[in-house]
Amino acid sequence: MISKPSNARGLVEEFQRQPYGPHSPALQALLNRLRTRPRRTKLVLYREPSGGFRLYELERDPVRLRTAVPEPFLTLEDAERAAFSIRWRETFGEAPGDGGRR
Amino acid sequence: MSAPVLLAYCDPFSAEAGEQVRFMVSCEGAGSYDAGLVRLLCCETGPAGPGLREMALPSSLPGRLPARRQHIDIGSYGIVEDVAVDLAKGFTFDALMFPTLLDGRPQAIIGTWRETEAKGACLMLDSRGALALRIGDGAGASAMISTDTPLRERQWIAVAGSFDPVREEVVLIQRPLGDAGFDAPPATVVRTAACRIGVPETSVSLLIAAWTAGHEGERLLTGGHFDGKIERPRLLARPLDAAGIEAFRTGSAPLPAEDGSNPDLAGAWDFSGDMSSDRFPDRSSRQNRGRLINCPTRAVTGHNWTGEFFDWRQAPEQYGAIHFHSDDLGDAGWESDFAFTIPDDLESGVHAVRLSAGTTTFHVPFVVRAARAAPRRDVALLLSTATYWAYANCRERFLSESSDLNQGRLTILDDLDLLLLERRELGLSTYDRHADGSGVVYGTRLRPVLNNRPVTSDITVAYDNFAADLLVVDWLARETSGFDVLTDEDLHRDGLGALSGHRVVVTSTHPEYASKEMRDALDAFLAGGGRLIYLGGNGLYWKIAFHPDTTGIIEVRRAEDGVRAWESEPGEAFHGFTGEYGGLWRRQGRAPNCTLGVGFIAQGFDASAPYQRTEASLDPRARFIFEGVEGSLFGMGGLLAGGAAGLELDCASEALGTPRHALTVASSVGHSNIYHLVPEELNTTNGFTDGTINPQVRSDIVFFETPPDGAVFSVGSIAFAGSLSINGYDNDTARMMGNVLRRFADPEPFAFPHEVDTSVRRRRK
Repeated sequence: MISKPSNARGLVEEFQRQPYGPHSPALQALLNRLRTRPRRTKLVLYREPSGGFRLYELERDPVRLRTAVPEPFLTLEDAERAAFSIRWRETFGEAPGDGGRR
Repeated sequence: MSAPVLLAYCDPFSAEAGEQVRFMVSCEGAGSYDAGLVRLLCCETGPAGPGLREMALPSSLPGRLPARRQHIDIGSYGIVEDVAVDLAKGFTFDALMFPTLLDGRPQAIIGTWRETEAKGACLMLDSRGALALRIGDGAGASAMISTDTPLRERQWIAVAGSFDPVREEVVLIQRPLGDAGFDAPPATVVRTAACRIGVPETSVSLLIAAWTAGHEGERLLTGGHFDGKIERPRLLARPLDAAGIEAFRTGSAPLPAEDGSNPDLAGAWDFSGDMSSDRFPDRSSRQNRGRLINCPTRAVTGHNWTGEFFDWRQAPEQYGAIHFHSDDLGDAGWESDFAFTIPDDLESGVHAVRLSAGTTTFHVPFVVRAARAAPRRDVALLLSTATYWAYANCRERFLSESSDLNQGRLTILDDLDLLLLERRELGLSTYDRHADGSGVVYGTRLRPVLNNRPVTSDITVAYDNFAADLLVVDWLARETSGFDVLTDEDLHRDGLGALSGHRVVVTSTHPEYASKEMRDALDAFLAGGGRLIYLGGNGLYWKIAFHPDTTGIIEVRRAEDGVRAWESEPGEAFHGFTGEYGGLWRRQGRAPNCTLGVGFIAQGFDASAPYQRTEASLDPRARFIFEGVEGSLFGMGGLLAGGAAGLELDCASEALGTPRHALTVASSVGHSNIYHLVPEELNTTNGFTDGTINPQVRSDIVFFETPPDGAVFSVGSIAFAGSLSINGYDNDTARMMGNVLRRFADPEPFAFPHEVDTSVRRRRK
């Protein structure tokens, strides 16, 4: 069980501001834990032939994509933010949308 | 209705005028497909870059062709044809084995079983993993007798099965070998059972590690593939009882195991022989050699490996096993659908046959190299095809649970990537593990390769190298009046002759894998005054071997350390193809730095970084490099994660062979926490490895002269080529590389600096 970091709001804001590094040591430590938390499926981005990305759950056996977020993303950064929110919610049981204040 | 599925490959991958390239195509869901010739000029980059550029060329290609589906018979096995033995008079199979995946599938060990006819005999494992003998007469009578005692995974065991038609009896023996450690020792099991089925076979094809599942035209289709090692399979043309089997196994009376004069010994196959080929000898008097299909792993330890020898050439008797896998694939073996003879007027370059059916397209790339007898252009691009084959059909990128952690970003995939994941028969890459957990040692292009294409799901990872290399093609097309293209396969085969006549060789973005022949040729080129622009990162890292007979297959042993998706098993670090020790070039006294001036130091894939010029960039020797370059910081933008220095990084190191007179003219700054030192840099684990805290995590741009009058310029970053086209090629990175290319193509000799002040080389400006 991962406990919510005391500076959650700051870390959420830091990630939302810049999904790709460099990150503060505290955010990187949190990302490492979120990204290694066991999941039955893998979050992946599907590149649509017409452009844009969709966030899916990749089931491995058999291989199948299951929608994680129905809306498409125009940028990779936005998709990373959405994946971060999913992982945050799975880990801490609440949405990070308010900056982790709850 | 789903879109048609097109899959194809060609052979050879590189050809010159007058030579023929064959194309093997499978098309599902359409009655026909179209084939057209294109010259590939740039990969798909999106609006931030030049975008996909391909030029349709007139050709003799047939245009529209009828569609047909071709299948791939995945899984390795051995086959011995025309074994003259009358199985109806009784027989004994025996072998040593080391099962590695007992997953509920029946698996063949050795036999003549033909599934569709229910005929023949096969020593096998049943669905519980117990030794069994299956017998069928092809007329409706068949039986499978089992010991009912499952084997253990990764335990050597001697197995044998005999059938005596006079006594109407089957005997099975499974006898564990070696030391079980502190595990409870497995028991020897002997099973004798009545069996009244005859096997009317007199001249048979014997299969090892598979059975015959049917035929597609002339092609044999196989099933029951075994996962694990098999050693010393033998066939005796008469039945033995339990005591006789034991004597046969140990070589004691009444039947010396390897007595070549014994007429009953119908085959005693030695997997330690002909190690570098697809053949294996028969030590019986029949001398009926066998052939291996789909590249099972050779040069692996046998049941008697003592741990005292690591080179199979020094103790071949301890390397008598072959590791078969149900997901091995060497050559899809498809029939050719059409061929294309390279016309005299087709320029050297990166080309493709573009296949289309409905909304589906599939590019089959190939290289037109300069004719060996033709004059060479000043500049040659060396496409890193050995690296392409190492990564071919990589699944690890999609399936790894740690990729987000390693790369700091989500995995991106598209429809072709999904097709790869859905079709197991397309095989694995040397970045994958087999189903039994062992590493994939061979990489092959003799099958459809789905990540070798100009439009890829993600050029920001180092898996789809071909697409990223088209960025170099685009740059060279703008900077030169023409250039030749050649491949690693050309370099390996032709040696220095492949490079002679060129003044400048430019590498592609990630030439990670190199054979000894390739490195010798590059070094000889430089020693002869050639100039080398290393326009990539993590180059010349792994030593590889090419298949001695079949072009298009490479071998990789992941020894000792390095950034590895798996590690070689103990005692299995020497290549079977050549007998050479595998692993990192760095561990063989020939680090990449010796040739390139830089070597692999760190990797990460989330964000690329810029370069900062060093004090050494002011050295008069480096003046030509920075003419017109105004800022001290450059490479801030790029198509590959937003900067010039990224993905995989190299730095200079005199300790590893960077020449003492080399100038490090720029170093990257500002890497993220995702970038970490490569493991070979660490003797003791510590927390000082990421790019935000460790100054070793950087890319160095290095220039040095080579005696007598050549030079090397190395950028040490995979992402670098992605920064050239920013702002329509109007940027400092492109200006710098234009300067370097023009100077390197100038016949004016580089003066070798015999007296060098080395004190300023690393200090930053």
